[in-house]
Amino acid sequence: MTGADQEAVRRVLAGDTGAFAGLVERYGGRVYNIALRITNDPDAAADCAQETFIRAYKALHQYDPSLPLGPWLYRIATNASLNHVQRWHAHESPVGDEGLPEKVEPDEAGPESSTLRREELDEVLAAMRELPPHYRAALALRHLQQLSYQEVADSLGIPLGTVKTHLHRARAALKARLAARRKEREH
Amino acid sequence: MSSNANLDADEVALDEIFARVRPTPTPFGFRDRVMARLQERRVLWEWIVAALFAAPSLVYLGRLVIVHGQDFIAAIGNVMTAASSQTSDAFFFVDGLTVLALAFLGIASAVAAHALFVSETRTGRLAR
Repeated sequence: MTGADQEAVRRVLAGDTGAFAGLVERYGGRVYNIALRITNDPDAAADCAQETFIRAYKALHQYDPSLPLGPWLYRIATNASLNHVQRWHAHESPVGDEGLPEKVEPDEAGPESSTLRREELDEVLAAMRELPPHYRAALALRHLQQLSYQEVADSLGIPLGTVKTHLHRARAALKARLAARRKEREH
Repeated sequence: MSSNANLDADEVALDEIFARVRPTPTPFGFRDRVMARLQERRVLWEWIVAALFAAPSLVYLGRLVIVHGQDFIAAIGNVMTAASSQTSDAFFFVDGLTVLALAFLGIASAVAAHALFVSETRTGRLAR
């Protein structure tokens, strides 16, 4: 937790609602991206991200200031997103690859290499969308948000060992899906 | 937030691929929408508090008008007479409960006015 986070939390708890805007500004992007990876739907992700901050605001008095704010928010975001996916599971229609336009870092090696890498990335992300939501959540937190295993465990509210198992299985499932997609494309 | 310097061997390739994903920006006006929802919650509570103060007061005052309407008209007539003439023998009676009901109604109006003011300010800010 940064000093700025601590100060903002203190001010919000003292009644300054405006200070919460700074926290929304600082963590909004990460929370939204976690929700986006779990729900696979930009509109649902925006709703879940909003819900995350509303819940965080309501529960801010329960937050332990000695712990970092990020994982606490990510935990709320993950729960909100997983709840959303469970609630809408029956109505869920698979989102096509065109559903989530990915922005890729520009490649210095040239346009050809960039296209190849872009295709590779698209494939990985498409395969990730086919994984179960709790695997998507673990992968998003570990690889897209660059959290440590312990932080992922804190964010998901599960033991460290379970996180490692989830991630191991998620990667194996991802590899299997990637292989299946490539095989499908070759035929 | 930590860097993933201590990646397991089977994570490295995947991490390199994911590292190229640029975060998707939040929808336009995201922060304002969150703050507006927080304000809505506060305003909703203010309306509830205003209603809790106003409802019993209005019921009591309404009942008073129905049951003692004639007395009210007479009292208002007396006050008008006293105001428009030099005499000072106007007589009217207000009981403690009526005063309390009027005071509660005043508080309810103040809270409702504040809720209305906050809503208007927020709408104006978001519209800009």
